[in-house]
Amino acid sequence: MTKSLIFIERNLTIIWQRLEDTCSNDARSLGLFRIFWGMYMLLFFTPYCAFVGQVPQAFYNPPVLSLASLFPGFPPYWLMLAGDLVRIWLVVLITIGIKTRFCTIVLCLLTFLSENFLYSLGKINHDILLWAVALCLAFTDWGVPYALVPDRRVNPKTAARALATAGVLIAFGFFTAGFEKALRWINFDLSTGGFLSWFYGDWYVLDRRLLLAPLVFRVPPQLFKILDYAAVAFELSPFFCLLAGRTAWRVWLLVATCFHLANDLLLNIPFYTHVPVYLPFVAFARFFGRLTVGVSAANAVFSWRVPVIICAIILGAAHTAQRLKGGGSSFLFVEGASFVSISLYVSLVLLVLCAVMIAIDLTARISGTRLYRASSRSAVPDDARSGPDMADR
Amino acid sequence: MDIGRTSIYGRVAGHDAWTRLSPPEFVSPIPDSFFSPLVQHYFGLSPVGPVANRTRVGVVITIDPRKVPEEEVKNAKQWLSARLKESGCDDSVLRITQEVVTFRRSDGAEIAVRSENDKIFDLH
Repeated sequence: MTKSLIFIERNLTIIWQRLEDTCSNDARSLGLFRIFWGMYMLLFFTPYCAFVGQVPQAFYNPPVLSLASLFPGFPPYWLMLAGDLVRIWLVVLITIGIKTRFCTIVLCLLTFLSENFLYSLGKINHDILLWAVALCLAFTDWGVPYALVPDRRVNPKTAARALATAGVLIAFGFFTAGFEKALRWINFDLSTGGFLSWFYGDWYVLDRRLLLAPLVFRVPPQLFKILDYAAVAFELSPFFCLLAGRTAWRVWLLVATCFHLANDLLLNIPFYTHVPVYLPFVAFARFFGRLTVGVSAANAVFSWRVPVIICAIILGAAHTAQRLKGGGSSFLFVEGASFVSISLYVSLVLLVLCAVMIAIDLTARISGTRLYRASSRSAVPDDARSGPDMADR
Repeated sequence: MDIGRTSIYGRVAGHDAWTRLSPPEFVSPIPDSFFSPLVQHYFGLSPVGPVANRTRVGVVITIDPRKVPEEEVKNAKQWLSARLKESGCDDSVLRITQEVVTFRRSDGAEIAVRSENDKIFDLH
């Protein structure tokens, strides 16, 4: 029994170490990502649940296993509005970098609470991954570089474990979705199709007929059966890619972004909420000069601190004004039904941007690995810690 | 090919004809992804029977939907009535229909729509 437990413990340690190596990112990249994340949230996914305080209580249909099922109905509008405003300004504080860790934890908890009521309209949406990953980032150094009031640095082991946990959550989310699909989609019945059943539902029920959706009718259904298998294989694969290493994981992230892009084009489902889920694993510092600049030096040379602060405060104030006037929107201040088409077109741009960033990071990493291998063939490195992974940090 | 769907219809103001309402426009600012669960519960206007959920291990869990009080039904009717008016329809009546659409696979054109279960709600 003891031997078995030691065996399990030892293997778990090896697996977690492997996951940490795969998911780790340098503090400077995480600091830059924090600013990107904040601006992204203020522009494209601003906290907005206040409207549920205005819908009739007759619509209240909470999931059985949820906090909302303990309540008799939707909370009053003023309470949901106050929750939204607090969350908006928490995002502003995170963007600027004031008490980032505390603000991120409070923001995520408030969001989990608010979305319990949003999902009481009868359906659980996909954005939970965004908040789960953000909660993991709170336990990294993303609030240290480029921050107005930097957080205290965390133990590097804790930061690495937090990012690995984020990777595991993403993999788990996709794996469960893929497992469910595998049970229904993997068959040789060409008269049924997973993708097509979704497509027809979206086309005829929700009138989603934009972008490339009309072209689906011109494609033979058998081709979509092949795509069903590919989608299931892709959704079941993230754990393998996580364990295979940094390059495989980033390849998977790139494929995932292309997968969402295809969903956007064909099914008209804008998965732009996944952009901030995938980018914490990208070496952002690569796009802003050398990767090896220290965190203290990064804070000293951060010349665009003032524009970031001004932009974040202006966006926060604009959202506050819109909400206090009785309106509100989560996406680019767009209200009404036009939100559907605008979010679809803009999400195309956002997903392409995400794919390009992951691809550049991947290419740089692969060429770095090749260079390292070539140099290690000609000479043994003096410093054993100077491998390609170290060069990325 | 056939596909089942639940649609909402409003009566064209001043005419005795029905028009299918666009889900995203009708439920806005509620995201359109919530349209199907809302319409399957008839927007809380009509009692829905117990919902049976079969788990992966074969256990069936039956859940009794929440009973909607009369006052809440009245508020829901007012909300729906305002939406119908905004859509240019008669604000006193809403039709929720479970229907089967027959379409052509080559271009997606709707060939026929067959109503299977009609519920007409008087909103006044």
